[in-house]
Amino acid sequence: MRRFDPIPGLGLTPRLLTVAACLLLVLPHIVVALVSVDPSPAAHFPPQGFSFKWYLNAFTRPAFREALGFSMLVALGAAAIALVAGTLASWFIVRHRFPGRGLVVTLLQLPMMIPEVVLGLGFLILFARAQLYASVLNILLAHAVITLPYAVRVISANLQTTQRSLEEAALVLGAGPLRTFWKITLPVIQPGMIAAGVFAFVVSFDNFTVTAFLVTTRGTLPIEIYSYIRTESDPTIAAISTVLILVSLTGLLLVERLVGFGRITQGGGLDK
Amino acid sequence: MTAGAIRLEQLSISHGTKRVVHAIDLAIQPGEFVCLLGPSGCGKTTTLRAIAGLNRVESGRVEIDGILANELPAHRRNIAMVFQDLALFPHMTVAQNIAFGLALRKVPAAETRQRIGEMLALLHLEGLQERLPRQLSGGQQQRVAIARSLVVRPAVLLLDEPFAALDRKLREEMRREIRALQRRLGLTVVFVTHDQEEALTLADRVVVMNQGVIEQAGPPDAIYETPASRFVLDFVGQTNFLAVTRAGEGLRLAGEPVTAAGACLAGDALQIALRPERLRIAIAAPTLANRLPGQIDEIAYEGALVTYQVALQDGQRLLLREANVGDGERRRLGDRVTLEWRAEDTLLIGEA
Repeated sequence: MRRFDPIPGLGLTPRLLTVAACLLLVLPHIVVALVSVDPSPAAHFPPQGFSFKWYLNAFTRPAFREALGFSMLVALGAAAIALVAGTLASWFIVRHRFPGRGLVVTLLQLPMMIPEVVLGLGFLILFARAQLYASVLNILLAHAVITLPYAVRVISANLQTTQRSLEEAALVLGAGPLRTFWKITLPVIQPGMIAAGVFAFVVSFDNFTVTAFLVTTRGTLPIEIYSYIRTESDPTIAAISTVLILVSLTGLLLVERLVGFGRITQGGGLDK
Repeated sequence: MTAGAIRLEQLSISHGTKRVVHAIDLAIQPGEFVCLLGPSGCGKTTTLRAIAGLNRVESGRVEIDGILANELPAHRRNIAMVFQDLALFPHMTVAQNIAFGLALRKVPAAETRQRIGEMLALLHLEGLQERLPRQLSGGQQQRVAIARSLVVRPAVLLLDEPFAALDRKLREEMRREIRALQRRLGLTVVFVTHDQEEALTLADRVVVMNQGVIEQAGPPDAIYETPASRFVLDFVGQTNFLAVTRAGEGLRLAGEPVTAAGACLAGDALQIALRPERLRIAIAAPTLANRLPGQIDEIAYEGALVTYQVALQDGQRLLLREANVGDGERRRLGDRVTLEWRAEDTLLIGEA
């Protein structure tokens, strides 16, 4: 039996468009994955053989190994800072009404709107002025700023959809504001916090533009990939990229499994 | 002195620039069951939340057991509250929810276990202590919310429309239970509802609120029988409002003389007010003070009750309700009937 279509006249078109859009989203990743196993340094597409040697090359090169460690360190640190600051900020802007709240909400979203080139330049000038030349610390601070809007978005959406009465009930039962925050608010928004942490980690891990302004000696993985590709054209980069795609995918699936995107995003953005 | 006295004096509360409670006075005795009744936006929930310490008092006093509590934070008031959405902690089991207030009062573990057990028994929740709130039915969640509030042995229990989401049968059952619990534990209860039937059934005293002021406070029968204002008359129960004219000393309805010996209330137009159940259809010769011909133009059969809509000769319509006692003949649509009612049941609404 045919399913009843409540909007007649559109037929197959919407479904075809959806499939086309999905293909367009997925195709580049598939191309990269296929190129990564091409044995020739010319990186043919479609691949003219099968080999894991570029994977081996990627993991044995010290530059990439160090860059991976550096990226992990920065991304973990930035995600941790964004998570703590983002949770507190979200709690204030969602649960409190104060003069200038709209401005604070806008400022918290600003790093997401400003072109990264501008941000990177700003950080460079700022750190130079402050005579801060420690590359690790500078990059970490900059990444914390870049990832904060993502954390605030996800956590405040979660906070907005949780009943305020939960906190009020805890208060009436005798819990002070601080204990209420620890015992009730934090456990209830835990799904949002997990998701925010994963997003912040990925955003930091992926960042190129801002980082490029601040790199002195050691670079993050995207920076190393870029400097490698300027001199070499073999599929090593494709191999690294394939690994990154798999790691990101695992992270996203984990979030979906643990939390569910529906629960994080429902309630939508921030009202001002 | 027994604990649980609440006194509101000239209490005013605003949300932003909008004033929602206007200088109300209310004294609640220990052990009293009071219902705050009114339409949405009348200030009843705001008043309740001010007693709990969840709303800022703009002016006036909130006294709990004779002590000024205006600035006392919610977590120091030793008042319990059941929220409209219940606000069960979703990440805690039933037992953990109930234990929450006890842990804050540093109750020893053995006593905590014993008191949780008492609450589970009292509210028929045995065997459910390890469940999470989402694994419970609506009625069970309701009971957990009440258990969590009562376990700390408060002198005052506040309830904000707690049964609004339940179906009728369950709602009636929960009403009986909360009333029995209140009597047994000697609690002061302040119960907010917009359901007039709920307020009349439950309360020792009903406080009818409208637009931030108290219209009338009194026992349920006084609220129903001798309403203090047209609003109370209209909001509590069903009422026929019929336009009448003055004819010399007397009144005329649909051309016929009527006598009104009930209360006189202020209103915008000259009307009489009649409760549908105080009207009857005259079978033999009419015996009551007021009588009027009419024609049945709608019948609502409700089982135990039958409600007739009767058109008067001037086109005004009124409702008449009879108990379905089964001895009389069933009326039919279009039947011409004579209505009769007592002068004492006729309230007069005057322009003055």
